[in-house]
Amino acid sequence: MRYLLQRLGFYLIAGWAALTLNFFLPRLMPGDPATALFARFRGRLAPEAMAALRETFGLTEAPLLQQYFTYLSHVLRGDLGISVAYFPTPVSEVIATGMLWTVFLAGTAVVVSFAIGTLLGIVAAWRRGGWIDSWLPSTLVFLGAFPYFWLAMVALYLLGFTLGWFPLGHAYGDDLTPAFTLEFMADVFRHAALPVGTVVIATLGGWLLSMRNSMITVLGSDFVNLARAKGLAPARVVLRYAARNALLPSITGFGMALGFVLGGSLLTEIVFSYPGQGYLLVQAVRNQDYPLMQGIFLVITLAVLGSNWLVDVIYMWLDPRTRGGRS
Amino acid sequence: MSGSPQRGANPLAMWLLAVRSDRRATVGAFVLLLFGLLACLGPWIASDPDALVGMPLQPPSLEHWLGTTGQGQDVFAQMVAGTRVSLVLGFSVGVVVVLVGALIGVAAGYFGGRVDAMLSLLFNIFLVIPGLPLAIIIAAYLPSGPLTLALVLIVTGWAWNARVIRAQTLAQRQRDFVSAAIVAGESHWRIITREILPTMTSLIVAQVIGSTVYAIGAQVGLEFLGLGDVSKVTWGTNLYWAQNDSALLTGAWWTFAPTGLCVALVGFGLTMLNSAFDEISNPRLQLERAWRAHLQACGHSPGRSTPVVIDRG
Amino acid sequence: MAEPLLSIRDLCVDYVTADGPVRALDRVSLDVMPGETLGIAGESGSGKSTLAQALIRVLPPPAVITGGSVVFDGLDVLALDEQGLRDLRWKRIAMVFQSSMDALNPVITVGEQLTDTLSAHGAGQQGRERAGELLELVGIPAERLTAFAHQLSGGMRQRVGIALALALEPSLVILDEPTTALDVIVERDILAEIRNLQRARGFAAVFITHDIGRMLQFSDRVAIFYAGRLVEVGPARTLADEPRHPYTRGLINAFPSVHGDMRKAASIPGSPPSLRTPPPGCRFHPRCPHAMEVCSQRQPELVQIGPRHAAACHLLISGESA
Ligand SMILES: Nc1ncnc2c1ncn2[C@@H]1O[C@H](COP(=O)(O)OP(=O)(O)OP(=O)(O)O)[C@@H](O)[C@H]1O
Ligand SMILES: [Mg+2]
Repeated sequence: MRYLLQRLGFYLIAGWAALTLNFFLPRLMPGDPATALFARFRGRLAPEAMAALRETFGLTEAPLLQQYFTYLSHVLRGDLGISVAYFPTPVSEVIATGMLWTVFLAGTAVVVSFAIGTLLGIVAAWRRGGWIDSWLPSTLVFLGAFPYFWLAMVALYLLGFTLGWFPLGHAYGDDLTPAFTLEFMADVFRHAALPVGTVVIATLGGWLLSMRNSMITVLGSDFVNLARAKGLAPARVVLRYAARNALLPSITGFGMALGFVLGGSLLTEIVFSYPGQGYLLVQAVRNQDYPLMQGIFLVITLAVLGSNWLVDVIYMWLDPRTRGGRS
Repeated sequence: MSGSPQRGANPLAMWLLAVRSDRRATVGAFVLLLFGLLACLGPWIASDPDALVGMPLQPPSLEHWLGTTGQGQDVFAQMVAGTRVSLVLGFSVGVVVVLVGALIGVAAGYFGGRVDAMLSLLFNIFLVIPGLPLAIIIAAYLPSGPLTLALVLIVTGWAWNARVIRAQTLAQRQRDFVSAAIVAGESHWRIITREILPTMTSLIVAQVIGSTVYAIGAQVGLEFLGLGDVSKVTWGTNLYWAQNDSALLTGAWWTFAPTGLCVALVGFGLTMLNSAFDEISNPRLQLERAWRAHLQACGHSPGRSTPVVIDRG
Repeated sequence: MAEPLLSIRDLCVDYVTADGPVRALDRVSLDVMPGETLGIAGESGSGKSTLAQALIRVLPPPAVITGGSVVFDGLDVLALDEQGLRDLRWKRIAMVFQSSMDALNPVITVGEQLTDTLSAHGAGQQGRERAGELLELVGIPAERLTAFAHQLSGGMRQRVGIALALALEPSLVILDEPTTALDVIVERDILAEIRNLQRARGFAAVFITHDIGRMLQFSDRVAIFYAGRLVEVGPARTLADEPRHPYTRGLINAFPSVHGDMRKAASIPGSPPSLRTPPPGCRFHPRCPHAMEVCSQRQPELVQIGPRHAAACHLLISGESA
């Protein structure tokens, strides 16, 4: 329990750091922040929009510290300001619709990829020198070297555009309305297949290699040798003794890679016009919609921190040593 | 990065050995050499990448090996020009990222205590904050261009290196010759630069390679989003324009395929170098390899139990 | 005379390195009788653990067995396939590993490590109950079945290792330095425990240590290893009273009082040779106070010098012929 609380404390600090960064970034810009920021919008925005923007950033005449606390209290109430591109919709509302899709897409991709990659890593280490071990890792590393979004473009071009097997974008067909029906779900999966597939393919090699390498280390350890000497079945030695332990460093790596994979998944969304945060992010960049950008950054960061904490829970469940205390 | 090669082993020789002994690394090094040449000789190989040379979206032909872009520029010329910019930026960022990481990592590991606690907290925070969104909000506020890009990539990329270097420094600090130097009253600076850093040469080279892969990939991603200077020709902006010109939906695969292949080939070459080096600097893997080869030479296949090779001749 | 339980003849083990094979065991021949305790002593690196693990063929890469034979209870161990080895292991020969500290799986409970051993050999139905008994047998309360390795002290982990080894009532238990990392009191307790168990169950034991004093006390017969070779073997009494090989003598002299004195065998000057480039002839000759010319030229064979007492030394051979 102490371990989890400790981690929670760390994520709280990290979350606070992200918030603070968010607050200071506009103020760190060269020159007078307010002028520099608003110069870009002059003429493009109605005065009330300007006022809302000013409000969003707390760029008032008040002293910095007071602005900071105003900002914090706004964010804690879930008020991320008003979007410029979607004026006058509040940022939190704009983000809310996309968040679900992003979590669905990136979550599915990362879990599927980790599961398959880890299994392949176990097999590769088990059959050291076999054909899986000699060909699969370098093939997957090669695929992983492509930018995610490029793989997405190729997949879209070949499987969607040329062959017509998959839809060309969006999360579900235009003719459907979201509902918990079988038809709708099937459509969602059909639309998610390509984006999820490309992220999986791009990340598989990493998981495979990390699991393979930690398996090889663990397979050389004394307790695995003892398990062999005990005459246990090979499958039990490999799974219960080696893989069970080799999984731990992989899980740590999983937590650290979450943010990275998410970034790739955001770019993939753009290629497929998938209505998630990635798509919104481009809109925000194109329209210089700073409140939206910062809102997305904040929400994504919090999501990643939360997922990391979940990973810690799983880690603790898998590794009795973190549970602490001599019983 | 499991290997921590022994002090004294010549890192350069180890790298050469890695390239020679691992077929995949040989291929990787060859590919990298090719791209290096392409970057250096670019202007003499290809024409002006910005010139409008023909009809937009022409498929590959003898005249334009890789066809033309949505604006009617030569794709091959753009690919070659992009190679230069992207490799230079990627490599320089890779180096700086490792420098920053090494500086902070060594300081944390060497001084320990409160310094370590603060610096570790810092890089751990940077490790969990997702890089791409952070990069975007920073880049969006700054004038677009290579400097901004480099800055953003450094800010989001240094933490991992710091973490690895710190762990390695902690291990080195425990060693006798370092303790002896501390007892002998040598200055911190001297101990760090003369005793600790030299033992990490190979690790640092590996990190530069890894960070270059990261920097190229992230740079292409950010430019694809339109956060670079879209009027410059780089790998990332090539892809940005391909996407913008709806290359996909017009079937113009040649506008995006070559650039992605370049990114992947360079990334693959670098990764293979690293993995070959990892393998060669891991004594256990080396032994196992020799063992496997020996058994195969004797006509046995390695199994799970200790093999029996009795030569009755 | 009774049939030996385990009979090792001319066993050779190589470690394959990048610069070619290194011979870690060179033509070792030994017998273990049913129920007896054979002690094996020798300096660090002399090949004791290599021998122990080679016997049940769990030596990890890069080891290769390159010669000789190992016969256990009529079974040719070096000819067994994987299934045959799995049947041999633990049910008939069990082992306490040198590093019992790291020999327990850190993420599953001690209880599960006991029960999976039982069920792997078809004794699963007794399961937990039997596992609890085993723990109590080595002096650990049965409720510690749910403990993980990191929750146990070093001595307890070692005891768990012993409980594991006894789980299937094997006829031979190999104890590879079962007490090296422990303090003297715990060591004494554990050795006494093993003694009692051995009396009750009648298994044979191979007891490996580099603490020759402890070993002479504890074993019926003793084998001395030097740089991968067997240099002397005989009843513990005989060896304690009249060691014949100069190396054995050196080892024993380093322990003036066999009882309790923990001094290291530091009285032999020099250090063991590298196995990569061993000295020609007798491997001990560079450190031997009695070295003769022949010692650096020919390798001495093991010669019988008394009842069940043999040593490999030119002094003994030339003494005989003279
Ligand atoms: N993986 C390996 N590769 C090469 N040589 C090895 C390997 N493992 C052991 N050796 C060598 O084999 C010899 C015998 O080692 P072994 O572990 O059997 O010694 P030991 O008598 O058990 O020593 P200790 O008392 O330290 O346990 C040593 O000289 C060692 O250097
Ligand atoms: Mg040993």
